[in-house]
Amino acid sequence: MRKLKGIIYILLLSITSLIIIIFLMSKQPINSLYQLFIGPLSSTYFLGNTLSHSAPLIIGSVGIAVAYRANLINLGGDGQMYMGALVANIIAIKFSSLGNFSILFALLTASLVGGLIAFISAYLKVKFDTTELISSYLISISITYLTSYLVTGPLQDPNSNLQSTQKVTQMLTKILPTSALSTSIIYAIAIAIIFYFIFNKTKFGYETKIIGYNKDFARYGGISVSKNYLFSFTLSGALLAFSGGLYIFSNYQSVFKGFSNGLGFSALTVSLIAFNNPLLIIPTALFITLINQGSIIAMQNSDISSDVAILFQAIIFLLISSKLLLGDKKNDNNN
Amino acid sequence: MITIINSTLNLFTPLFLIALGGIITSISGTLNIALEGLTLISALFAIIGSNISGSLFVGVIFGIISALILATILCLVNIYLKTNPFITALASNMIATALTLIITYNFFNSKGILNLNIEPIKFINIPIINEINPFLPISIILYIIVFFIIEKIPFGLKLKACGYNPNVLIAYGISKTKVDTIALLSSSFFCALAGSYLSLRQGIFISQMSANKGWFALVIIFLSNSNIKYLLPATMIFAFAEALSNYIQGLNKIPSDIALMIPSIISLIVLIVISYYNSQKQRIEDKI
Repeated sequence: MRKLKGIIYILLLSITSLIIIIFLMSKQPINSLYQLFIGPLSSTYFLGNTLSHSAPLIIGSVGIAVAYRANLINLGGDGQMYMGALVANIIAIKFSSLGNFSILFALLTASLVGGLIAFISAYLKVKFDTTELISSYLISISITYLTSYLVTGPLQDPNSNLQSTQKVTQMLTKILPTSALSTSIIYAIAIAIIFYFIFNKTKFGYETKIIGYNKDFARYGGISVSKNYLFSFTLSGALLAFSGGLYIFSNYQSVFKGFSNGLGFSALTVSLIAFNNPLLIIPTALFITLINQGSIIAMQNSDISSDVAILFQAIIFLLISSKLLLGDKKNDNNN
Repeated sequence: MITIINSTLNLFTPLFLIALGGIITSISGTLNIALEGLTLISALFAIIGSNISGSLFVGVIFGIISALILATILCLVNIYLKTNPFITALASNMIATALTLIITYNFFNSKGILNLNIEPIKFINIPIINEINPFLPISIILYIIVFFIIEKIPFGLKLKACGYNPNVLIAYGISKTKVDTIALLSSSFFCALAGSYLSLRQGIFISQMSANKGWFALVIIFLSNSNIKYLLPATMIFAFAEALSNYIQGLNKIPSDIALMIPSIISLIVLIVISYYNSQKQRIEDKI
């Protein structure tokens, strides 16, 4: 209960600072604010798109939460999503004859690749105690450049003027006409619910929770910390890559340069606000997507930069780990 | 060959300054992830300051002030709201990225690029290795000063104690918070110098012009084992890697994205080797 109160304080503080920033920056602040908060809800088109964009974010945030529960921060989200999207795109084009089955196949392959990328960081953490924070970020930078090279080089669609890959033809079923909203949102919610049960009802969920609280205690109790580190971090990478792949089949169809810019950080913000609880992740991801989409609409129809959304997330980020505001007595072991 | 040596020395400067800032916090026991954001924000304000005043020196002062403000916010939040320092440091990186984009968009009507026709800093001509930027001698002088502070002055001992075992500080009645704050603020000063150099070198600001240097600096600090004696050679290795990457990019033989991967891959390899080495050492110590 105290946590919830803290979260409300933090959100109010962040929204207030966002409003102040807009009043400082914009010559027509009321219009900007209207576009930012109401814009994404103003028509079925915008509402559907907002919901559609929140689906990958839900899955990505669950991915971050899987690792963060065991006190591991996955900073490689951007790279994992980018690569996941590319792999899904390639597979979907190669196996387009398989119809809808190819979507599933493409997403699973993407998850596998994303899992492998994350596994490197986890393995280094377990074997040599390399900080996963830095290793996952450095891997992410390399992967991002590699994917950018592939997207703008060998895999670029020769028939398109844009720097993007060939478009996939198979898409998820649209459920709200005129907008991009597809069944992806249903899958995302289903995955969040499944992970709620995994976190709360399985041995894996219990063990990672204990490790997150105190890994020495976990080890003393006979829990294999390394095994859980490896598994949760790999799963985290797999889910992020899955969410990147899902973006292809729900919204974008092709991969372009700068595809996942900042999405990994958005996912991190969401899972921090939601205390790694998959059920809370759903509304939180919706809220963050609302701001993200609202900022884009506000940039088109008013005079503020869409980057106010990043600033807003950054302010939440600055406050969200506060033990004072959240009344959290848990000891943090930042190892 | 001369060109590579020359560009190594010029790329060495910002990395060395950031690493110098990072090692101070590293000695006091915190991994400073905010280096990247502090560098970026000062790069922007150095340009704005130079434009307003017409003087590069004032520009640098502007850069320093902006980084100090960001670092102060970070300190205040860490101390008074009792936050997780990693998360807040990531937040300050995000704030820097967002602010630079918002400011360039709102006040200068360009998204991320700021070209105000500022005269770039003058390079000093030196025989054999050609042009050297004036920040290089400054960074060397600062290195000597920091070295002196850490190794010869009581405050350096406090920093080290804070890193080894903060309880020692408490036992001696010294405030850990104070030591941490001084470490973070001074590290922001060095980042600001690096950021100012990055933008004033060309007289323009480009978004993300810090180009992950803050993260590479963290790996450099790992490589030097948080020992200021080894900081100079460790930075040299990275500067050389970056110079090589730029050189390869200039050849147009391989795509620029692949060339840009080189510094991060080298950092990753260095990070792995160092961790491997440290874990082996730990294993031997455990056996004894």
